[in-house]
Amino acid sequence: VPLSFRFYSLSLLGGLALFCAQALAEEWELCPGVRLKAPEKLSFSRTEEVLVCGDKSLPAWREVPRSQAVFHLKAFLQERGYYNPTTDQTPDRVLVDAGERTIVRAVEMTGSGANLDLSRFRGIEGQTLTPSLLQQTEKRFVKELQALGHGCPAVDLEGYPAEGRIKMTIEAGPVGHIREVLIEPVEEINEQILRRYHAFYPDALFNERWLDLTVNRIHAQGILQNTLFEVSCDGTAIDILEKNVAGPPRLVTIGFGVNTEKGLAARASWKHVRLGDGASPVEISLTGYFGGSKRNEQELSASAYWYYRDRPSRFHIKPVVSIRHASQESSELVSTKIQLTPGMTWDGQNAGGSLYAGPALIGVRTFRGPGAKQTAYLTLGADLSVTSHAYELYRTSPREGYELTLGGSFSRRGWLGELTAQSVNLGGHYLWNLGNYDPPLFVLGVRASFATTLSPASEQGNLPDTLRHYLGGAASLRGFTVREIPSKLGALTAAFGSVELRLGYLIPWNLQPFVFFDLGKTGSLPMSLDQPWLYSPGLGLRWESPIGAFRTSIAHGFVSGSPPAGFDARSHFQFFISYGEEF
Amino acid sequence: LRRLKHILVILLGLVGATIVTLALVLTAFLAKPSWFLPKNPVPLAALVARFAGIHLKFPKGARLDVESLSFRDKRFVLDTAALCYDGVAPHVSGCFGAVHAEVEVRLAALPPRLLKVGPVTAKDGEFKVHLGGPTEEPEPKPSEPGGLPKDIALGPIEVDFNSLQIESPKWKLETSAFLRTSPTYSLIAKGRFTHDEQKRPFSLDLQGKGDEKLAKGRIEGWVENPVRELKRVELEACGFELEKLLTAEMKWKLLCPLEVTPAKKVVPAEWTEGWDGKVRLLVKTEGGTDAAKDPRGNVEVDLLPFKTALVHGRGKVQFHLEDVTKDKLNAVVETDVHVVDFQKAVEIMESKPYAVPSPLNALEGELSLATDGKAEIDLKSGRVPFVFETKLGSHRQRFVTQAKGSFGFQRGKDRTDMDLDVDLTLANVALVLPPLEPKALPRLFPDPRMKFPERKVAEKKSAFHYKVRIHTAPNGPIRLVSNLATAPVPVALSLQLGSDVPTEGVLRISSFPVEVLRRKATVKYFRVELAQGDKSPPIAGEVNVHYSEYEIAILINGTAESPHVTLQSNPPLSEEDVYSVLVFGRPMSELSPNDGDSVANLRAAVSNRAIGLASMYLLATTPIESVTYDPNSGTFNARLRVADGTSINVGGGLRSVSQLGVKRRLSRSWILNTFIDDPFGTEQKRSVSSFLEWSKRY
Repeated sequence: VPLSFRFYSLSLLGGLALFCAQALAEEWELCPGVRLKAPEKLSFSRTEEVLVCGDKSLPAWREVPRSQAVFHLKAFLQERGYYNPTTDQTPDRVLVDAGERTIVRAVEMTGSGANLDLSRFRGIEGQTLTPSLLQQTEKRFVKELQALGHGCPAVDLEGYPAEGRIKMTIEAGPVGHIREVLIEPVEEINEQILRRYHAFYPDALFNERWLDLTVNRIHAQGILQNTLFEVSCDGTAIDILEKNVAGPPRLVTIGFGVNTEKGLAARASWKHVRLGDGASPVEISLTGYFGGSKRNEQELSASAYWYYRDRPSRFHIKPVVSIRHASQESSELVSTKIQLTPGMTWDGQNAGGSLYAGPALIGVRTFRGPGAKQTAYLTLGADLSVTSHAYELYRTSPREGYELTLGGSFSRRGWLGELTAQSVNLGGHYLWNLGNYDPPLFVLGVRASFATTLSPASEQGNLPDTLRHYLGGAASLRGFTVREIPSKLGALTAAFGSVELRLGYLIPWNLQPFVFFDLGKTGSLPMSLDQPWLYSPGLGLRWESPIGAFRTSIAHGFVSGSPPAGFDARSHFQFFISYGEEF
Repeated sequence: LRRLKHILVILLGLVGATIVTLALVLTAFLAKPSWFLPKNPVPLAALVARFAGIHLKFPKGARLDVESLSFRDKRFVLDTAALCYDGVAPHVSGCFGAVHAEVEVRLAALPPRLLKVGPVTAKDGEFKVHLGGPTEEPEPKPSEPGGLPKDIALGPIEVDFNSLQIESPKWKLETSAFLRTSPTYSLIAKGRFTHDEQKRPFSLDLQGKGDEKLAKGRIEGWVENPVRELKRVELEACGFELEKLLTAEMKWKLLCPLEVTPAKKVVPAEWTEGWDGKVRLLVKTEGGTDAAKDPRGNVEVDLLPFKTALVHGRGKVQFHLEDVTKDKLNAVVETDVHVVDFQKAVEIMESKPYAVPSPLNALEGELSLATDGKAEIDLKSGRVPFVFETKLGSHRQRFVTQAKGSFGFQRGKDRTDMDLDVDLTLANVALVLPPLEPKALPRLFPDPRMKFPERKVAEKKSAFHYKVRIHTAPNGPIRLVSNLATAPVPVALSLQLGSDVPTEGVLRISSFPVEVLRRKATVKYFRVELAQGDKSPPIAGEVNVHYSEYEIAILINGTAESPHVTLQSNPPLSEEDVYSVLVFGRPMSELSPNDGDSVANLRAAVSNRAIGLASMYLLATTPIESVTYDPNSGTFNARLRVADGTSINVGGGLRSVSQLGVKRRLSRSWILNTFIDDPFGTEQKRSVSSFLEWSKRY
């Protein structure tokens, strides 16, 4: 966005706001004898009210003289960004006119960190100049500098209300590398195992955001109740001290809720988050979904991340045992899964990844729907993912970074199974924060996926639903319903790509409109995309609520050419609303 | 030779005849001077006066009679219906309507000697005196013996000025005056004095009797608007006594009641209820001149006791004339003014800009302002020592203080600078603070990070400077009554405040018990040290929280902006357990569902210095339901249990972001957990679940 455009837009908006504020200025009585006039209705805390109006029930504060009331009121108005209040006194009342709120019109930067591009930092100019804005801005710049490798920056802010100016003095300090990471002992486990969650490593360029990412990982796994890092600087050497609170290791959880695809949900789980010296998490859960008499699902599963090595390591084995009953309108099946998957994770300077590869014994008994009535097969599965730290850190509020995933499963008739099939999935996301604004102004995202199942023609009819591919839905082509493409029987090959441009944090209440274009194709044969092109332009709105993101979209799905036989999808409008799901 | 002798005889005869003739004439003149005076004496009198440098005119003629008192002594009597005078420098001009003057002269002496002046009567005088333009003051000349010769007698003198105007470029005196020396001395003058275009009417009546050895008398009179601050000054029966008048050994006594009416703007009307508006003074002075003719003696001005409905007072100023220099008056000032009804003062000032603020305006009692000490005062500057005391109290409040110091002023060209230098002792002070909400403590003063350079320019012009040293009495700390503490908070302080320097000193909160919402604790001490140049003052403190089996000590140090908190326990516990006991009263191993999270979050917040002092105080004194902390935003949130079934939140909101979803803690045990079921699974199978979960850790 050109700066001039931004400036004129802001000026226009500011002028309009000012006009409206003057027109809508309110005047009301705070207490007998004290009236306040302000462009907006202001509320005051109980203590503030007493300091302005007194309290008849308190002998010492029964009467607050008018001059004192005005003095306090002016101080409170300053807290709210009104620095030029005027008073009009008559014998029976005083009217305090708050005047106009002081808006930040300029930010200037001095000091050794003055090479930061100020124009990237949104949400300062145009905001009301208040002490809390100074505090927030100070924190933002400290974090920004720490994200750039300055371990211990100092940022001082001063506000000049008469000019609507903020003066920032930055002593960034040197860019540092991590010299040492000390971890406080954790009872009953070898605390060094916590390094497997670290998104940083000794000698790496310091980036404070990766400390936050590490905390997020530990929270997500539930290994510890709390983790925090203390950073100390010695020139360019930065030492990190990790402090942990372990908490009891066992956790029982009972919950109920909803699932976007499956309806009402209930879940109970037992979890031991630190089993053995390696602090291996183990979980047993029972989950049920109810979407109607013909749409319900129940699953009992036990899983673990078994860190089997004596010394701290990122290598582990992930055993999973589950039995699941799923009933849908078109199918009903019971599947069992026994999996023993070795895996590992790693982290570089700005990205990390994981690799899992191992056998899984799967049995499927189909009561209704496509595929054989009873299938059992041994499959060798592998999943590789490479995720940038930025993508991982902002996963619930996507703004930048990338993620690539490659997965596959291999099974062969005679290998404890009755099916020969190889499935491959390749997918990825890439997000750009256009202009690198903070917070983002526009986020451009691209995602693509390719999935195919290789299987002899003689066995393709017996492939279970888990080896068939579909398109449609909020996660792929948004102009079509979930799994609408190509038909209820699915495809052996599916590919799609999407591009989405989302407006960042500009509209109040965290509302973020976006436009998108999805393009996809399916194939009835392995490694073949012989069916018609599908595309769906559309637009939507994302709301980042306190309990997660809601997204709605409306798109028109188009099917190019004449659909062949067995291809049920048709052109139409499609509306989606989703919760917790991101692009 | 004979001819020569003849000529010599003739010459001697002529000389002798001349001498004899002159002797006869002189004898005749001495015997009968009137024979020699002309019938019209005016030209002669004018001529004689001119020789004396006096320009006299007799427009209506005059009569001069000579009476022979003896062969040597004569009396000259001048009568005229108009006697005019026209001097040059200073320019004095005017006339008397009727003049009768008598002088007695010893003509037989050489030169003739004045024996007596008077009686003299001059009536209907109308004179104008022009003192000319401003000139530099002449160098003081060595004093010469002044006054009339001792052997000249004065007869009765009466001079009556119908109009006497004395003008200078800066001031003007317009008066009528009557002066009489017999049978008593008497000076009666009325008129007005004008200076700076301000007219000051006055009246003066001086009566006395005696002679140069001892004269007694009284003065009465008044003057209006003598200075801007005074409306009227009146002298009533002001008695005086003068000895050896106009001599180097002169002595005097003066006892002079004065009635001063201040201008209204000096004393606001609301302060004068029950007062007639007059200040009564008694001026006493006694002294004389020393050998060097410098004045010596005492002057005492008593402010007689006065009362209004609000104020009682009295005062006295004493000074020695020998201490009075050209530039300065060294005086002993004793005043004692009491505001006897503080509530009345509160009421009077309530609507004024200088109203007494809450909670002080609820106090009752009296104030006193006393000066007792040496003051240095001159017209351009002054310094007055004073003692100001308050003896106030009300329900749960006390305000007993003493301020000793001095007040000074310095008059400049454009303004008068004032300064105050005070030692303030807070002897017994207890104040009730407003009800404070833990979650939103108000900011009473502007954020110092907000700069107003344009206002600083105006501030520099302030003409009032102060330097105040405030300290509490050794065993009498200030006691602050707050809803956040069940017992008053004892605060001892020693501060130095100045208008031109940053505040310095120490503020120390002493030990006091706290019992807020069922939890007992003791604030052992808390100290703030203010020093010049400290952006954030260093602090130190200790709070002890009592439990049945444990004693937790919260040690606070660092700075006010970034306090560093350390926890200790007795018996010793691990750091986690210390936090656990602090928050929930029992160690981690005994915690109930999810309380461990709160412990962890509190520890994180404390370590990251994310908790303000006020929040820390609450944590130490208030039962807690849960604590959450977001290291990303630095947001700390504590949910406090204020009563069964109700709770309040301290701090901001918190959103716990996990790798795969969003967790929103709703209460101690309940979480709203939203996550993607299989984030790495195939796209078409991805779904999102949102669970309301109850969980328990053990």
